[in-house]
Amino acid sequence: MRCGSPRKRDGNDKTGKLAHPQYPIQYRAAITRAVACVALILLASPAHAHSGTGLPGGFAAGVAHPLTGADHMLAMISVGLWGHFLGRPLIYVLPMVFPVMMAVGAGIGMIGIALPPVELGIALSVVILGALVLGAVRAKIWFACAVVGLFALFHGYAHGIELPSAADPIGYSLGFVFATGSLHVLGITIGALARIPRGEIMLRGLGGIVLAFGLYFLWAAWP
Amino acid sequence: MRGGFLPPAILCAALGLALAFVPFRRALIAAAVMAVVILAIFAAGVPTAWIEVIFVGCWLSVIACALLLIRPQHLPPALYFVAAANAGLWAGAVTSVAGHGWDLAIALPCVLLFVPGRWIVARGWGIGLKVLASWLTAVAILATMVSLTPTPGYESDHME
Repeated sequence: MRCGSPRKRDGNDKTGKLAHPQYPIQYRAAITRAVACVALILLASPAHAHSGTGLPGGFAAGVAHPLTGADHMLAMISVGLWGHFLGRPLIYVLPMVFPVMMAVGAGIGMIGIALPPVELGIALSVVILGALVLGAVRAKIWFACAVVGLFALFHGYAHGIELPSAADPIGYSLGFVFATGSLHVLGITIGALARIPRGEIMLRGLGGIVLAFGLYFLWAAWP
Repeated sequence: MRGGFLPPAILCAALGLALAFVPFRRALIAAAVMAVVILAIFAAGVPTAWIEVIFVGCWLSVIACALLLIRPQHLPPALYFVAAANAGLWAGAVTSVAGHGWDLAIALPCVLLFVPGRWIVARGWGIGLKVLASWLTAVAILATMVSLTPTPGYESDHME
């Protein structure tokens, strides 16, 4: 390995002074090798030979699942938006009902009970939730819980089919329940727009956009 | 692989959320009861053959702890000590059959969630804890269902 011109190799420059008086040439090579070794250790990726079953899934996969599907995402944000129009107590009851009923739906999927076409149900959930936000519908508690609970079954069913194949089912469950809940909270946060002038109209407009997407999903899922 | 620190940690966290609604002294005693029971059960050991029952018991206890948050003001104080002992029993058992000692080092501090939880409740945001508890209920339902449906993700791997 070259360390500069021959004149400099002994550590002296043209003036005869030491280039690095504190590091003689024999130490510089050793330091270079040590730095290279540390860099290799730091840059090397660890082996994952014993990290589990080799199946995909885990907390990160669970978090990613609701975030990667636009239909899931829009439905869950819409639940939060609708909660804003419904007010207390539904604004916080719906984010409690949805994950629990979603877990029940996932259980139905895992057991293998057949539901009507799931993609159709999910698309329908986006349409109806979008329409409810667009219309600023103020429903009774039992009706809102029933609507959201029913649609949560379909969303949970879709998740549940994948769940048993995950290498870390508990991590996956935690991930997708918390991601789902966070989307509801995002919807509720967006609902705070209503406090600004014309905010309610903007929220209803968002409902209209969700409805439009829902109609597209419905058209795509139609058998 | 379904063991590790997550099942006892989720159970401890659910109890911690429930204890956020009770007076500090009572919450502290309940947390101590749980810690003693966990350590006692873990030290005593549990037969591995009971693993299925233990997992179901652990997840049902998470749901039971979450239910304590629905109307905490109407519950008898003794119920929290019973819940703490129950949580300790199942958390210790599940760690004994499918975990390691260091899993308890991660799981046990989760019961201390009642300390920030009390601060949140005192500011009138207790509903946030109830929402969190409902999410833990959903996780518990899912985990229970997974244990009833033998699939590749559920079956023991070479790490267990």
